[in-house]
Amino acid sequence: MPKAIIDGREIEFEEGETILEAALRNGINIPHLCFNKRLGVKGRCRQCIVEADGRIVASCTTRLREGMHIITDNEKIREYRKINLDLLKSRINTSQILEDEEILEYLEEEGLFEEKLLSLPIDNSSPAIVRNPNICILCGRCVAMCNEQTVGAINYAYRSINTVIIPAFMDEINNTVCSTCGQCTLVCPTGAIREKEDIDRVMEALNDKDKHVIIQTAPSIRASLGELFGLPPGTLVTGKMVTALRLLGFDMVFDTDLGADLTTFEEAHELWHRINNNGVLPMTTSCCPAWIKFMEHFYPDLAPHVSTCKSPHEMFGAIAKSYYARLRGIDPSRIVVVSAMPCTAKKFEAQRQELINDGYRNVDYVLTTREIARMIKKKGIDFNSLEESEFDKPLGISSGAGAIYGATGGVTESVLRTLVWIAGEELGKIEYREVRGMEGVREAEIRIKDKNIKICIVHGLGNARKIMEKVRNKQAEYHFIEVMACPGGCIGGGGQPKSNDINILRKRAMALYTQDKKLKIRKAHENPIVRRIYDEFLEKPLSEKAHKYLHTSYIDRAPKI
Amino acid sequence: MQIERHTGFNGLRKALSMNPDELIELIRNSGLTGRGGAHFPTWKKLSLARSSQGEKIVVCDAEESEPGTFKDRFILEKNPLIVVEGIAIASHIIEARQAIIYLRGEYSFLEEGIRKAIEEYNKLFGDINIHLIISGGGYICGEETAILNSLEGKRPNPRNKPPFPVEKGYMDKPTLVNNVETLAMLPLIILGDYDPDLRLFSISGNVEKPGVYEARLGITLGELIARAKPIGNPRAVLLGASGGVLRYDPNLVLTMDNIERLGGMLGMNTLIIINDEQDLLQVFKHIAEFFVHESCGLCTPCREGNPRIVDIMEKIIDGTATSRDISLLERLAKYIADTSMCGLGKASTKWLLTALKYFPEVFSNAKSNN
Amino acid sequence: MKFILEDLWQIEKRFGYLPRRELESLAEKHGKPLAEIFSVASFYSLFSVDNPPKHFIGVCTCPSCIANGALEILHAFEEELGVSINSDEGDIRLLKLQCQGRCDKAPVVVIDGVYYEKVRLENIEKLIEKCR
Repeated sequence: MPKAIIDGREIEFEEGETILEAALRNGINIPHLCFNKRLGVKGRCRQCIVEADGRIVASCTTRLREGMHIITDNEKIREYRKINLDLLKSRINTSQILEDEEILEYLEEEGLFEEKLLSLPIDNSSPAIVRNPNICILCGRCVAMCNEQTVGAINYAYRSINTVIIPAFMDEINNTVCSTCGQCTLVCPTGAIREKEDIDRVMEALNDKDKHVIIQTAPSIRASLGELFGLPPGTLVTGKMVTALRLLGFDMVFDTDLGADLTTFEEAHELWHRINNNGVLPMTTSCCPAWIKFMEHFYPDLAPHVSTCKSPHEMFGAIAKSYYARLRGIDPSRIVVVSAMPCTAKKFEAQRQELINDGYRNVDYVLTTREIARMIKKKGIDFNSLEESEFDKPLGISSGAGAIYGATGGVTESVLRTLVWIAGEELGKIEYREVRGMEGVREAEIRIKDKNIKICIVHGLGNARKIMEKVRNKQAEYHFIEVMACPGGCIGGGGQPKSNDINILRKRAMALYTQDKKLKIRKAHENPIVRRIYDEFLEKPLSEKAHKYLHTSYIDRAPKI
Repeated sequence: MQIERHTGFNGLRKALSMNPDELIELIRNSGLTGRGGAHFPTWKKLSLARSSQGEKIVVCDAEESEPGTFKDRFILEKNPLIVVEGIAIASHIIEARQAIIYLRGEYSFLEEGIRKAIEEYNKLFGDINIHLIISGGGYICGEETAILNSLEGKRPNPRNKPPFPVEKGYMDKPTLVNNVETLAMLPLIILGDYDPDLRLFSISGNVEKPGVYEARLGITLGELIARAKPIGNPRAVLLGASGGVLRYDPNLVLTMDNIERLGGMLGMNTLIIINDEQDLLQVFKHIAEFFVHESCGLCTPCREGNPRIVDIMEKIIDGTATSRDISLLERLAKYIADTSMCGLGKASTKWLLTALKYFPEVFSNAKSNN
Repeated sequence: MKFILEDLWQIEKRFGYLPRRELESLAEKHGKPLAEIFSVASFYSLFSVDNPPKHFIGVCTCPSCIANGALEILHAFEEELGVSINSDEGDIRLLKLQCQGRCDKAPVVVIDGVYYEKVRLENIEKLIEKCR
């Protein structure tokens, strides 16, 4: 391997490796703001400059060469980095940086320049995300991410000192093709794009003695919440999370895994029905609201392909305000359903007009993993030393099938476990390893009775687009397509702890599969609560009542020119 | 002037009968380097593009936006045929079938003449498809990778190099980007009519007869400017906005090395003469404004640094600048020059670094006003 | 080969700016997001993504033009028109231009896309009439 010298240390590097990559790999920190390898963003902030053979270069764009001498810190470099940072600092309104953002560690010293703060309108239009261009340093990671998702809702506009990142014509983001996936919020170093915070509204509900406030937690957040309290990625914190939510004052702490079991049960029946009755195929999943909004913008003609099943937390909410309300004798108007989700799109979904039953919103508020952590910290709870406790009954019982919903391929595996049972194979397989993994597009063929069920699993909206183009051109010979808007599925959701490192996503997924393995009940249809809800309330899958409470419809958002 | 010669496509005819490697050797021996300002050896670019694989493109950079520079305009006005001929020769050498002339939007009055020249070429040869694309306006569009982005329908930001255009250019195809004047030299070289020391100087400012002058490198500034008839007492000579500013010295021998030794750059042979009746501070401030207006906005130093220079220049004009401001001016100038992403950003404070060196009185006078 | 620049020029020439509906159909035509088309269009100085004022008066402020009295011309326009640089009062936008590549004909004034070269203070009044 070729060698170079960084700060007097001889290091080996791979052909084509940049100075920054090699330095970071060797534990040598070079300050940097814009660099993001996965997105290919580099060379813009100029904070990572170093001296290479006596010349000042950006370490993120300069490839190492054999025998190169690199100095990462000297008086000149410090001078340039200071001016660079101070210029950025003098433009952004640091008082509007709300959280522990990446940039804060850089903003301590006194600046050289008079403040010339940006004062652009803050875009609060979306129920999912807020854009505050006044703290944007124009690194462009969000643009790269939005383009990687093939959404393209935002981009750079104008030039020079007037450069901003905005939707076309400075439209409100809610009036664009934004899928609300929130992947942009994961990569923004300053919080210039972040989730729309709903903490205050939830606190108001919690303080209202008249309200019965339920929180349900998504499958994936128990595998990621710990990271925000310094625990290693992949730590399952289910018990501590439940305790913390109780301490926050929620009347009931339930599990969206139950909602996932309902979705699996209903969706597997829908699929089987379509297969056997010449229904529209392939059928795609519907549990990802960013995927749904994306579909409504770009593929509304293919809406008949999309399962009509509501997403798990919406199913849960619908049941909470109907079946559960009756069971407990609580007027549904007093029930507030809060969803703790890995997702910003769920915030958008919660306010959809289609997701109302008997005059009540299925879900009232959605909090992201990050907001949950923020609430716990604000309350002064020492999360890591909490006792573990269990979900409340009866809506806290769930199966392993629900647990794995959080990872790409999880919904498919859950549906398969139940589909086999519907088809009449009593001793169906439990684990379908062929549908697991992190590849963006995966295919599998599963034999059920006399049928070969062809499956495709995609995550990331760019991959979804590839497959939907095939569907549109009638080249997709699948029965079932699972779509998750976020890379990795919900474990990589836009509301998760900020990271888009694939290794962290893998660890989170692993935690969910481990949880599944440990559970006694691993199939949705074996969840006693699911059976009870049908017996006592919904009658049977795809019944009129099931349709009313568990299914939904879509709208056409395509531009009309 | 040699550039006005009507070569009548004879250079191209001869080139077509020759082996591209021979042609590259010929161009190498001529010593021709890029006339867009960077002076990269033309034969080397041709040779790199030639050895790249796949479909190739030739781009003629006619986005001439350097203040004080109008020699490409002059060439395209007087002799568009020789430019088209040069494009065809370059295409022959690298085996390109597509060529694009990227013309400055402010020069769209040249469109007709260029289209006629292309038609002429098409009538006689026509093996290369030559497109004429008009830029939407922007100094950065003259940067070779920014042109490529612009042509691809993207924002004309410069790209990180490597990869270089000759490897991955327009639509990732190997692309040869050359300036108008460089390409126009090719027919002359092939016909044996090329004089390696002749240059086209754009002379303007306080002279009676501004215009494009042909002269040999090594001529003294005084001798050359005498031809344009200076008005009043020349005080400063600006080498465009990006080449720096020097004290007017009639004995200054105009060679690239000489100018570089003084901290300037004789990139496009631009000479703007400013006499002692002008307010140099205003001239300087407007150069700073030029770089603010023309920054693409992609990297921090150029985007955020140049507006601060304008601010300080305004303070100097108002008489409110302090010595701290002046030192900040110098710190900013070095920072921008050393850390900007592209060549244009790096050159955007050359004027300031040279102005601080050769015209300290302009800055210190203002300081004492305080 | 397809060039978005050619489409943008066509629209700019036809409407005098780039109307939203035109950029929307351009996005459709090239299969690109509207935000990307807007990003590109808003970059260039010769295109306007806003509905522009009725008249533009631009004075080049490159060093050659300044050395030939461009700033005096600019101030004369300011005074005669009673508008300040880059403000959007009324029908006329007065602005500083960057080098127009006509430094041998300095100072240069551009009114609604038409070039006026070697402009003298005494020409100002006549030039303003072009906008009335």
